[in-house]
Amino acid sequence: MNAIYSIILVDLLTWLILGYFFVINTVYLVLLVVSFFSTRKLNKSRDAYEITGLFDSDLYKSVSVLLPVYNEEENIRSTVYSLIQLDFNDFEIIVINDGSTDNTFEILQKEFELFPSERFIPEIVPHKPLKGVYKSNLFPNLIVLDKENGKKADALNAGVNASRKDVICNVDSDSWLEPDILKKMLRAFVEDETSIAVGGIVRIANGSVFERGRLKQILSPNSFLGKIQVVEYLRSFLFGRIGWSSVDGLIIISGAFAVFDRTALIETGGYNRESIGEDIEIVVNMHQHFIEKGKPYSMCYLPEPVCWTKVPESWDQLAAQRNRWHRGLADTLFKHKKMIGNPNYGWLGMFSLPFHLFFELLGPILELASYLLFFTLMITGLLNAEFAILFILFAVLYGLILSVGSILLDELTYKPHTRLRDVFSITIHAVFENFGFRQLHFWWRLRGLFDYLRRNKEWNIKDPNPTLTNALHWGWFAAFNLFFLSLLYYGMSA
Amino acid sequence: MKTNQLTLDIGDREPAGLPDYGIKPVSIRDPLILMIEDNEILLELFNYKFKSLPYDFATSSNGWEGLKVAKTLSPDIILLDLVLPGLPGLSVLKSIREAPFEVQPKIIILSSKNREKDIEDGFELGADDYMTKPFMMKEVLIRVRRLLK
Amino acid sequence: MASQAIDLLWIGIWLLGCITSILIIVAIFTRSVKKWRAERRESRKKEYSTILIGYLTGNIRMDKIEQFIENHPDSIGLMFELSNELQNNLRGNDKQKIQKLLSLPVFINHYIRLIESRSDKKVLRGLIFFRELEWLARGHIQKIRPLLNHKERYIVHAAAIAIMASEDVKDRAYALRSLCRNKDVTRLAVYEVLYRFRKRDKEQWLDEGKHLTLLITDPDLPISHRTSIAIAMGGMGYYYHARYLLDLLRNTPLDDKNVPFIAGLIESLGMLHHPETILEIQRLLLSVNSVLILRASIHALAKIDGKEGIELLFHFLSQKYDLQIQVEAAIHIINIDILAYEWISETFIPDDANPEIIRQIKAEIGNENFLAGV
Repeated sequence: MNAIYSIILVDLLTWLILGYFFVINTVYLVLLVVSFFSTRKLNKSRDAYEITGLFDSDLYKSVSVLLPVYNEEENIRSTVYSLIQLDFNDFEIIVINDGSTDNTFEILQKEFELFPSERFIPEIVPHKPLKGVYKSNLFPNLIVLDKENGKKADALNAGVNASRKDVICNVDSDSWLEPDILKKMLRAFVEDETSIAVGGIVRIANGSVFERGRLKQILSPNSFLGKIQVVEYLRSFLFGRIGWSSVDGLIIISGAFAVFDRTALIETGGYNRESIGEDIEIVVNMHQHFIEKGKPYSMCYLPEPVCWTKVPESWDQLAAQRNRWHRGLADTLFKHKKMIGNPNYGWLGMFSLPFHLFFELLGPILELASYLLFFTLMITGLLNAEFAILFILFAVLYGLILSVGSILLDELTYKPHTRLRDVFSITIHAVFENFGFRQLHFWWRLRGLFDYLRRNKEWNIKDPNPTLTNALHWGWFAAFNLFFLSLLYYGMSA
Repeated sequence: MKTNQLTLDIGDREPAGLPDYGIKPVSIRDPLILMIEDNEILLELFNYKFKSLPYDFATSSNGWEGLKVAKTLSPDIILLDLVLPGLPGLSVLKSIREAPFEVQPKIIILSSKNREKDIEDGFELGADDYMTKPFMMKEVLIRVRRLLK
Repeated sequence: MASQAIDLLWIGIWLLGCITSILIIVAIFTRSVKKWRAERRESRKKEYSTILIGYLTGNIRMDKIEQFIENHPDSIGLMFELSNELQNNLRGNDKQKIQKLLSLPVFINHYIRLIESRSDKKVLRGLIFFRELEWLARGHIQKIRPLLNHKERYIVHAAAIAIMASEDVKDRAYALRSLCRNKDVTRLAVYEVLYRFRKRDKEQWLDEGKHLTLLITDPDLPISHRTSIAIAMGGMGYYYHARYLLDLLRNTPLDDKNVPFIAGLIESLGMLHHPETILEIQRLLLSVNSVLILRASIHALAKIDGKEGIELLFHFLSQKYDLQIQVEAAIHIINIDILAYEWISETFIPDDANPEIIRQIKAEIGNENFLAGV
């Protein structure tokens, strides 16, 4: 009796896992195709919209660029310089020093000749108290807020209060923006009136050559982790974000570069200081607010690389980052649980959010189940080795199509910027990604999920011993591949 | 905000060397005009124009490099764009004004920034003249000549 | 069952493998082609800019360039691009020279052909060329006009902008009206076209204004675009028609669907610095509590300046308004002209103003300046 049950259970589980695998990849594939067509369409109409005339009248949108910083003494100068050089007629830069404990503020003060200034900063959205407001002697559009330490959302809120322009653009301190990005962004508003949020494609800066605030040569990162993340970012931005935004199901705009209409942002209450991932939270929040108020709105993604960001190239930092991302996703989905599966929220509620819940958030659990099943079957000898190996191969190839498709989309739509060598090495890394890295990634996300359930609201979970973590990760990597190769050998010989 | 202790050099360094401009020593040369501007075709246009007149002409397309060139060559006139790669134009202007030149170069800002505030800031930081793009070639020449007198 | 599944998997693997390889090959191929093109373009750019600069400085005659283009037909796109880059930085005589070059038959005929082609991409390229011309012949306008009914919004936009080069105000008004009939066109897009609608020519000014006022009251156009046109009339400085806008403001009935329109009129009159607007705002404030109108009033009052205007601006600091409105008023008060400090007095501040906001305003302006007239 028991045996029958367990066979039925195993069968069910197998089908569930196969179904999960099939659905997630098919959705991705559809998104890739959608993204391809929408990118093409946008690129076609791009040149039709000229905006030079707007700048000669008072009829354009002005921009406040918000840069929250915390202990960034190494990057701060070049990041601020790169912002000062943005090519736009009317913008202000608001740097928010979020209670740094290093010399960040002193460096700012010296380099930009800051002097204390009285600026009217109303309390529209909540944040921790300010310690001081400074202006630069050199650049009249540079404002620095010095405040007590809070989370990133807290710092951004202070910036929102201090800003006096039509549009808020928030950037990360380890990112670098294309100089004409604000003009491109304005064009998005020319194309669609109801835009309240605009995102852009974020690329990986590691490895590329910058020269005092300007990008000089685009190269791929040298490290294994860097290269794998190049593939990841290509996929997640090109078809993840653009695809989702073309079907109105966008829930994330990367915090490395995001533009919001200031009025809309304030209307939704600013950035949520309680959230773990403020970049997901703000977007879902805006969706909810505007749908509930019945106001027309749209969010769009510029199909062009706009921002280059530094990514972690060591295991411990990457693990912490992914853990945080996953907690952020869990947090936001939990906060907005009434939207999930609710037809009042349209496509977003009926499809995008449920997909993110079951496939992105709970995906790691199913993946865990599939690995457990695999081992159980293997130990009990029920595993058909040939089937297993072929299935793995099939899965890898399916995933590879998505990666290569993204690389192709990138090549088709943008200037040729990468070296041929880099295209090859990135493709190869897209294959290797499946052996070891993918499993680690799933593990980090699983831990993120559990950390969230344990109510661990820390913004960043500190790794007690990074050296050990890194060593363990490499160890895992070696062990996994050894195991996989022996499995392959076993399968081949059987 | 920071998960990441890596340092990515966002190019916060001075460029190593400077190109050889073949400019003669101060005593025997024609008035030297340095143009700091990142639009290639404009640089070429002015190069052509000034070389046909009794002027020496040097160019730089990067703010940081331009500042260094200015310090080495001590030109008579600098035509300065405000939106530049490297150092922003206003920083270049300020640094030149603070540098110990024997004779401070005259600086003409030539920029597409045309709002009142921009012009005010330019003059406040010590520009001798401010011209907005689009401009007339002839006007630039006239203003250069006037400043040289 | 098991062997079937395995067979299926094999087929799948082969299929996926083939697709992947094709994708990789296509990717490498596109990359190589693009790279080759970019390199060729770079080298040509050098050559062509030398030619153009030679032309501008008077060393190369125009017919030489014409001949060059005739011999190298594929140079025309880049030639146009470079000329355009140059003319965007130039004005006066230099710009006229480039315009003269672009009006050569080699250019015009080539781009007319593109406009007449069936591919949207080519049509757009053609329109972009005509967008940069300052002068259009009748024949060209006739060719561009049908595109105002194109199904793609961006083509209509580009066509409308191209027609804005016409000397005849009727052509321009017609194009503007065609564009505005489409509800999906955005406000900023209308602004962009309107900016080009206005010629820097006093003679045409009155005529232009008259056409715009007709559009503002045209019942066939969506009210959002009529509002945009009204605002733009202020932004473009049609002072002569301020009176008309003022009358419109007086006579538009105050119901919900008119609120954005009324706000637009206030905004526009503000940009035209019409002092009688202050009275109108005062009248509206008695009955209106719409955020749009309040906001427009603040902008208008700050622009109009003048003692009465500023005094009314202070009124918005009253706590009976939303915090947002108070803040907006405060920021505009901070930004008023220094000259105004002479006659601002403490009595302007409403009794129920938020003392913290007042304190901060005084702090930013600087206590010694503020209320100097007291």
